[in-house]
Amino acid sequence: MTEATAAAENEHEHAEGEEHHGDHPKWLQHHWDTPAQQFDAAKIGMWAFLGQELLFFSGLFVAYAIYRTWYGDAFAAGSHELSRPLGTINTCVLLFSSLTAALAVRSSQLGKKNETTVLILLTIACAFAFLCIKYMEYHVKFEHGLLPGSFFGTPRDILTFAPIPGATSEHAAALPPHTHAFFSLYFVMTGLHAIHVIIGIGVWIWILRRNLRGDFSRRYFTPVDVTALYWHLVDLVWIYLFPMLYLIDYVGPHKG
Amino acid sequence: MSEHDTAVHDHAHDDGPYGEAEVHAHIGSYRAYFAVFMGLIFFTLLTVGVAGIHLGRANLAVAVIIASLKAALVCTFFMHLKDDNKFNSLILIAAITFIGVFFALTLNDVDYRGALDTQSGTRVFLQSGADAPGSWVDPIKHEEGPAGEGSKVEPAPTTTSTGSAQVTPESTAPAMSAATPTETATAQSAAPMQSAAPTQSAAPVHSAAPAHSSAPAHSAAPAHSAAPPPSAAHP
Repeated sequence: MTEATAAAENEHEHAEGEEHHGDHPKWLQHHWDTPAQQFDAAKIGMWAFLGQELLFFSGLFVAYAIYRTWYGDAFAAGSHELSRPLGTINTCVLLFSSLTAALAVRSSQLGKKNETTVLILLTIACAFAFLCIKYMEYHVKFEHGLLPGSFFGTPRDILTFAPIPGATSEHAAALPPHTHAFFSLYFVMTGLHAIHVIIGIGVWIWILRRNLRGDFSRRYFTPVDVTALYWHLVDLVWIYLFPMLYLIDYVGPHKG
Repeated sequence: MSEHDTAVHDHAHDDGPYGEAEVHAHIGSYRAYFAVFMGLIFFTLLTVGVAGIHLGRANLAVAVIIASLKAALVCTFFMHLKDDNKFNSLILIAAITFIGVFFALTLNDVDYRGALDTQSGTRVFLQSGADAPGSWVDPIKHEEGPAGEGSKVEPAPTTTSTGSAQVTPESTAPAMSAATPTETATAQSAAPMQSAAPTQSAAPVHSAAPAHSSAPAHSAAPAHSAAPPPSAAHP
């Protein structure tokens, strides 16, 4: 430890007069020399994780690109079965939650605890709204038998996954062959995204609890910051998913 | 950016005992964050609007470009990359670069797996007529005969839809001129099929299509049932 740091910490003892483990503030883990070092390490770690998340999702986007080249008309037809208004609303809901997340970081940077609480609650509320709208969309797809792979064409109950007795899907029958491939990708991509939203809600609740407990200050807001980074990534993935799935207008070379 | 002027530059240099070693985060203004949000909403409505205009294949490109602009806004301002340690930007750029490699190599493979031979329903190399490795056979198209849809790498002449039962030498000629299988490839593949005919005598089977209509004679291919009648006409 440098002399300058040691001096700084002595000064800190006098300035704050708090109980500390050793000569560190409570929130500064013992293996870091300075708050800046801890903060930078946390951010780099989070960005490495986000880079991994992008590569992880890119596998599905590559699969999407391949199947869309092969079955352009089926993808266009499948896309037209999705609800553009609901998709657009959901996009706006998620973008707004990203705004409130960014503002939550800002208020925690300024040490405004109550404002942070309100903004985190808004973010969580938007996440639930997003999932509710997603549920409504899934519900319609299940009712119409617009399901992945071999499940395609059989209307099913969304909760029990049992086939609905007597129901047949004229919707599914009228679609081009291979539309099931579109719905396979639709459910896997939006489902994986929804899992990320659910995990995000869990993390935000934990951050909310820590905020209410008074863990964060102008000097230490790293957990809020990195959680918001994760939340923005969830938003980023949706930014690409929305036009890829909901807004296909391309109908294939032989028809266009 | 004008909003930037109103940003609260609370770098907290004197906030803690660590001085310069305290966390120095740039704190943006409410106005700046709202401006970014309004930009994101604008681009969302723009992409929905543009999707309704028929631009053919350009629709996808426009959608990806608008999505990337939105992503850039989120990364730069919401995720603080503008004022952050540049190493974090490097991590993001590295991830994007490798996603690009992933897309380029995979799509290159998928797009250049040879062209569809409408006679057999399998994919062949245009130069040799041999089966393309990793050749992918669409089971549904296979049953329905050559529908000629789906692949943009197909040579245009082969997309002419011909009922497999009514194949005439005239109709197969353009398809085969695109496929141009070599003598060696066809001799090998034709041999097991036409047990009555010696392999080399199979060559002048079609006067209109000297390059073999029965080229990749896959015994499993239903479409091949079209081949025997013309070959029987030329003993």
